[in-house]
Amino acid sequence: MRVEDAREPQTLRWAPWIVPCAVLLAAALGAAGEPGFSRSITPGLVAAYNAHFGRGAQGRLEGWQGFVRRTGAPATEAGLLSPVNRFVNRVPSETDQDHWGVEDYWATPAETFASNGGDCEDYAIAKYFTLKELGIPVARLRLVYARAQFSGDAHLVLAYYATPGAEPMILDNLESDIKPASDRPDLTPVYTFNDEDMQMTQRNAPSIRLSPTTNRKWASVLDKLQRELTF
Amino acid sequence: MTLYRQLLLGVSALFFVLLAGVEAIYLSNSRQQFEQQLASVAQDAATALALRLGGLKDLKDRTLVETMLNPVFDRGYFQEIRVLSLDGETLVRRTLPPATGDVPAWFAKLFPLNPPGAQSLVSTGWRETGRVIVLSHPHFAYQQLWHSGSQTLAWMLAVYAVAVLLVMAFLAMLLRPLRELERAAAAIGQREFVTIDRLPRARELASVVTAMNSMSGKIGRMIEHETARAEALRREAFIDPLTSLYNRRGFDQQLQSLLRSDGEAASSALAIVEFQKFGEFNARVGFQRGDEVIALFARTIVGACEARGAICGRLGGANFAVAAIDIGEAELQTMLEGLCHGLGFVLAEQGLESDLSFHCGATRHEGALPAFSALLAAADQALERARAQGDGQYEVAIFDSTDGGSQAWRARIELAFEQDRFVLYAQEVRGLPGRAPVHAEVTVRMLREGGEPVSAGVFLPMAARHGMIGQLDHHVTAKLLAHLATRPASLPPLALNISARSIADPEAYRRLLALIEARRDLAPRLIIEMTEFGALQDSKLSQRFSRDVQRLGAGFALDNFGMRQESLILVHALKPRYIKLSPGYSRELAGSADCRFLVAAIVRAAQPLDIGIYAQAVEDESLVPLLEKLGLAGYQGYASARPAPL
Repeated sequence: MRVEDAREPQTLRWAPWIVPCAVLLAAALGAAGEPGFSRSITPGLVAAYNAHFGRGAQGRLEGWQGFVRRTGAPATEAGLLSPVNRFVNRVPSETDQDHWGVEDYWATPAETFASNGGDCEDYAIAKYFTLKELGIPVARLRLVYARAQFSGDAHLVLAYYATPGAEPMILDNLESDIKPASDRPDLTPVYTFNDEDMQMTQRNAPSIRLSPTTNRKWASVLDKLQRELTF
Repeated sequence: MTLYRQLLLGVSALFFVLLAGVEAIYLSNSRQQFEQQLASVAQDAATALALRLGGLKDLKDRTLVETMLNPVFDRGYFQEIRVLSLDGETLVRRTLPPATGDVPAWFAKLFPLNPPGAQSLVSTGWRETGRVIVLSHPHFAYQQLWHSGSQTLAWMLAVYAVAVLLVMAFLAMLLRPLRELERAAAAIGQREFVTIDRLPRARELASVVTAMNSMSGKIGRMIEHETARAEALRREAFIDPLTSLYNRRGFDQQLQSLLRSDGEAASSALAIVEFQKFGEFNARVGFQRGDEVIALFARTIVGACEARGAICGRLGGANFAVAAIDIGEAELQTMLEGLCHGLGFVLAEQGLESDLSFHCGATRHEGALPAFSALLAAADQALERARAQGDGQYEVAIFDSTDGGSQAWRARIELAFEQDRFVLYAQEVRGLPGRAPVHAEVTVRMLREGGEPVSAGVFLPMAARHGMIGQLDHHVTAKLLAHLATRPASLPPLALNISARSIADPEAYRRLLALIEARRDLAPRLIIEMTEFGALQDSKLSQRFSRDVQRLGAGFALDNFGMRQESLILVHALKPRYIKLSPGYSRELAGSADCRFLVAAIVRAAQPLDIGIYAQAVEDESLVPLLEKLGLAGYQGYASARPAPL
């Protein structure tokens, strides 16, 4: 992942007016599912991604849906982390430059599976939404900017906090096993965020109207998720 | 409101709305931008603070946390910075009161800046320790929005002013032909059939102008045509073709008209020149030579008398007459001497002294203008005496009808002014067809000390002689206006004669107009009449007077119209509301077909100019159907009503 990018990806372009129209239409039809969930994938989206990424896209998307369905709701949250991590990590690692033709591109889970490639943040995002779909409260999940010691590259991982302030479990695409943070000396955490977890803050600072997002990249992912719902 | 103003108002309102819209859009866009900027500044600060607070082991040391916050907070860009513990407990909170700086409260209310706050999670290593919330303070943004807003507003106003000026110039250019059109229309409304030379570029206007020009030209030509016809008929009826002097009828007509110019004259004179033995001479030398000699005499007479404004006529054969009013005794003598001398010279030059002889009898009346027949009789008597005296002589009979001398009259009139012993009489004028009263002509009478009335014909020449006409006209006008103020508005307007002497005196002119101007409300019910003779005295001045009177809302009309040669031109220039023919016409109408033709021609020529022709001195009801047939607008005389005190 690179921090800066100058251009939008060349993959899918949207006329600006399509979004509000489509959102309205979707709302009218009552079709809006939860953004980023595997069960929210519409046949239209499958067809579009099939057309765009090639025939395999449908199978991979169905594979993701099947995984979520099969996994169901397990007894413990912690038991979920490992299968999800492993499942998502099966997607081949590609740099954004190679895969999307831009320096830095944050893909939606559907894009990641359909295109069959991604880099660190794409894994983290796919894991985040899959865990959310499987019932883990977002308050326990954080996206963490970190530095990978070995490569020296900027890295992004998903952290799971069993309780607030606890030591997190790290879901990393470079590591197939889930390890507590203390077992990851190779990662230096720098900055943590979760734009969906605002409720607590809002409760404790009711006088302040907060921005819905703190991270532009994350905001762009949310936008794309909304559009995906409208296919 | 004029079209120009309406368009200007509309277009500038449009511009205003447009520019106001642009300004509003600008402000609202700027507001949004500022909000985004404030949000982004807050996010930056929150992220930076979160990273820095992540360096602490935990957030329990509030003093330390606050100390780390202070440098950021004290920059003044933030309304609130708050640090929350993991449980949501507020650990540190720094706030600045909301303020808008020097920006007016209404502006802040109209364009509120409510940027969203930003938050960041604080983590020490992997462990989350709390959150930080930052809210930007909008007062700098308010100030900037206010200043850039006022600056663009100033620009907009400048642009607006320039745009309005340009629109004004453009509209003025565009509507210039319309203004010319309006002027022409107004002129046509004033019965002046003008044409517009320059066609406007706009096609619609051009066709209107073309149509107007064509119509105006047609009417103008028609008026010219009718005027020329009337003139031809006038010549035929009144002018002696050989000498171009008035013939007998024309001379009588003119003299009668002249003798009714009460206010214009202090005296009147008539001279008759008679050549003896002309019939024999004519028979001997033949008509051609005879005609030649007659024409020569006529030129000599005109040359001797014209300068005095006299009217000259050929009464028949070799008999001539010259009449003048307001001529002094010495002047008359000089004129007659010149006349006799000139005629004697012609006889000598032509070698006719043995064949022809002439004498001249004249009469002069001081004071009241005499009756036509009296003047003629007096001149005849003088002629008789001249004949007895010998060839080439003239004799003058002087009559003084001034009762007790002119100085006595002066005193009498002055006293009458002092005691206001003038009374107004009015004679109704009836319109045709229908015989309804259309206006009434006012005459003035003076009461003598004993109370018996003196008619205008008697004292007006005396007033004229002593230069009191201006004062009298002023006095009577004031009296009439006072009467008009109490006269029911439903009654017809009143017409008053004003003498040329009054308007020839600039002071009297000014005072008279001031009098009417002071009662402009009454002016529409007032008509100022001038006699043809008076109006011809100084036609430029009469035109000015006519314009001034009509500008004040009063009417202007010509009285006692005998149709002298210059009169038809004068009528076009004066644009009177109506013309009253001199009484001679009424007398002749029944008996003379020529006269009827002439009157009908005058009526036709005046019709397109919207000038009514009235007959005067209509004493007999039986004449009225004929007047109606001839197209006269009405009549005045005992047949309409007798003069009655107002």
